[in-house]
Amino acid sequence: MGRYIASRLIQAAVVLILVTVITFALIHLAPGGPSAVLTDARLPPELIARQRANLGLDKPVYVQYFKWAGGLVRGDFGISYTDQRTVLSEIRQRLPNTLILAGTAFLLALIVSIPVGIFTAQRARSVPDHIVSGISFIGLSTPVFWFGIVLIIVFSVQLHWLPASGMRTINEPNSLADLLKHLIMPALVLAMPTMAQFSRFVRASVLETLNQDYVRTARAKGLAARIVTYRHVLRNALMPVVTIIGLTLPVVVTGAAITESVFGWPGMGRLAVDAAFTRDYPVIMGVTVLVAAAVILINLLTDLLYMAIDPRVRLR
Amino acid sequence: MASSSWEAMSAAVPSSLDDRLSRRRFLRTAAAVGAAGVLGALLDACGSSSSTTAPATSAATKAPAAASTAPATGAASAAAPSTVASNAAAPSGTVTIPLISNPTPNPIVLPGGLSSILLDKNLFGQLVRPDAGGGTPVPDLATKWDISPDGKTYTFSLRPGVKWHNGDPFTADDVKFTFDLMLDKKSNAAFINNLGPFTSADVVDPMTVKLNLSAPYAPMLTMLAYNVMMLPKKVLQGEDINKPVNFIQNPIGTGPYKWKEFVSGDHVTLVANMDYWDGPPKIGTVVYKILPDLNTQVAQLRAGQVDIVMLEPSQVDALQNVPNVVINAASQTNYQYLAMNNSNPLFADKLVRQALAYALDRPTMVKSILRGKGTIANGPISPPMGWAYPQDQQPFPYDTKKAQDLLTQAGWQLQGGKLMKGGQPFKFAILLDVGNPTRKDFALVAQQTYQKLGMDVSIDSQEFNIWYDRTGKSDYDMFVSYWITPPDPNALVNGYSASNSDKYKSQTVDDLFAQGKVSTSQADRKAIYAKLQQAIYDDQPDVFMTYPPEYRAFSKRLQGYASIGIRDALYYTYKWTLSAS
Repeated sequence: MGRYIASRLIQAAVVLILVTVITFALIHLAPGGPSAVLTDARLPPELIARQRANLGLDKPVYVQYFKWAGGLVRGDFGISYTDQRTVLSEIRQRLPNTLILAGTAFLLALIVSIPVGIFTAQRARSVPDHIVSGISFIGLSTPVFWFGIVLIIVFSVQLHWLPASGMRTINEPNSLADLLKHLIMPALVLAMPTMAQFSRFVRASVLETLNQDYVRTARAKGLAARIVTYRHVLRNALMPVVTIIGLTLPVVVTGAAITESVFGWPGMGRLAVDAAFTRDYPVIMGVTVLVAAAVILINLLTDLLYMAIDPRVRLR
Repeated sequence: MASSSWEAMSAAVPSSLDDRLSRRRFLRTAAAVGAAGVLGALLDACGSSSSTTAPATSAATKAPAAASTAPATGAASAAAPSTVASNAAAPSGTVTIPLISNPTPNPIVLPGGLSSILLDKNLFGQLVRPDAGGGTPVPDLATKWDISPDGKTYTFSLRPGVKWHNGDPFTADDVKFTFDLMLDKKSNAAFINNLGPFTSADVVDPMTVKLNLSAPYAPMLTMLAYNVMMLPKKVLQGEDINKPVNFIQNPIGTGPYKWKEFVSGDHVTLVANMDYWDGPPKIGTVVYKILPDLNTQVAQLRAGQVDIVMLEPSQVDALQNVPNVVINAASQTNYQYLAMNNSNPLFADKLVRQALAYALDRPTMVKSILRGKGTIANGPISPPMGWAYPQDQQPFPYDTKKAQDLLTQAGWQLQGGKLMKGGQPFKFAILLDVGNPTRKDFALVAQQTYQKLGMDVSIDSQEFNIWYDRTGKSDYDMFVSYWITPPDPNALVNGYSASNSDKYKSQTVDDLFAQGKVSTSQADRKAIYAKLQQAIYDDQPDVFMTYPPEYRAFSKRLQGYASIGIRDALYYTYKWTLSAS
């Protein structure tokens, strides 16, 4: 076990280095340069050249990479081109906010989708199943920004129940109630597609398990329906769900960008997308390293968890 | 499964990110406005509109309010913004202004574009600033100035008794320090190019500064009034101005509001500076909310959670009848045009360029795209430049017949519905930045118009940075553009003289720019720029479309703002009030 984890960690380091090299190369290959030096095309070219030189953009790409990587090794993520704050302080401020939003959305998705998935699987092809399927498809296909704006118009503009944006009421002491009030709409919007996707997935997985021989055997033994469902079906059906959760978690974290923009949520998804649009290389790289590391780690944890819940998965 | 999950993951992550990104297209409206900020950063200005605020009133309101109570009052009423005390004694209430991105209070380098400009106006002071009509430079941190007879030395007397937000006195050392920073070749100073032949600053005495120029430069004062903000030597000394990580966490200025709090991606809070030289502000707190999505900004305005939103013309109709919102339009030193690559053989012929101008139905553009406000453009000098705008010049009329005649004169023939010359079709692409609805409308109208003449016109939509990169490198046939400049025609020099990206060359235009720059008589300059506008008009290096308005929506409770461009209006935030509503 220990050796397995060690070798996986070494693999992870190699992958991480590759990710940084590829990302660095890609962002420099992408057309258009950092907005920070695109002040105006009508400026004299020598002034633009000077600004590029001051940011070190006149050096060959590999020199820029090693300079950046050298800083990273010392824990220095660099300074944002577009807003001159250190990348680390930006990420430190933004990451917890995204985790709060994405975590809530994720929990919401799980809490709703697992029971719904089981319920619909047990009543497959019945009227309630079709209704839930319909709702799921609406949930999957509604654009996040549209749903967000509709919620804002209904609950903020018309009803004045919820704040339209932000994470806390400005100039008021922080409180959990205040945070929750701000959290409801964005978390719901962010959770919706995941919720729909998960409930479909759980339904399919449970349905498949219900047809397994051991379930028939359990029923034949005369076990109570509840015990069959929870002990035999659920435990086996949730295994692929754990994998999909592992795969989706980083997507939810990074994919919160739209929700964050619509609701003015000060999170990291927005930071990443803004950085991509303004070609803010240090921020793009900082976020990439962090997300890549998180993905690798979650991936590793998923695999370990998988071993824990499925005795059939054994180390080679 | 376990061993293949990395592959699964690496496939899953990028594809779903792509999906998110394509859905994010709608956000490009916001991004495009940010882009406007990048441009505006350098070269923006505003109107010669109505309202002038009497300076006397501000002296009268120097209330003996206890400085310490002010921030508390501001915070208290922030909790319930709709119940604002109209009692004007101490600063009270909160005005909330949305920004599309994080602002950074470093006015010299100006990271963060328009967002930072809108913030900096309240934090920092300038030697001179535009008056409340949005035009002439008037005293700010300098009370008076003398210009030497040869036009090469400007001597400024500084306002006595001005304090930095940390209590230090403001002196000539700070002024010299600021200009030295701008002149430093190592600094990415944003506005230094506007100052032309400016070479050095000297301290004469603690309250007097001399600016030295290598040649006379008529726009000098206008350009100093244009976002050249003073910074504190003692605080900033030793920091790298290209990344002053400590200063931007707690910036110190001389402006009417002081820095209080910044939460990245969320908001900036400023509080009233009770020691402001023109009297304490009326409103206690200014909050800049960071809201990247324009639709969200509008929704928040309707919900009473922000007070000002800058609108695209297409958003005007939806807000027209909202009870708590007032929409108005200010003029701005801006023109919208179809930039043409004059080195492209298609556009090298002046007759062709004129034909393109005649063919365009600009009255309808103003009516339908700009929602009735704004006027047809004659050339790059726009009406808010005041004295420099030649009033009597008429724009090209809308005349399709004339356009066809000119094309025929230029040797283009219609063959089977296609415009041909020497066996070649008239084929070009209009480069467009995705996301801005107004520029897209202009591109579509131009495409339809020119297709009717038999041209083969396509639209090449690109992400903003790519669009910008290509326009800078003259890698285009035609693109939809706009240019917000300082309110002096000399600001246009890099667009039509020297090495402009349109590759337009005219000795007449070069000579006129050179004369206008050094002439110190406004009457002479007026005549020079009238000739300049006429020369550019005849050549039509670009198809000039419109002088657009700046549409803004204000919440009704906000009072006392001048009806001038928002960038200039924000110099006077401290005079705004909130009515109980």
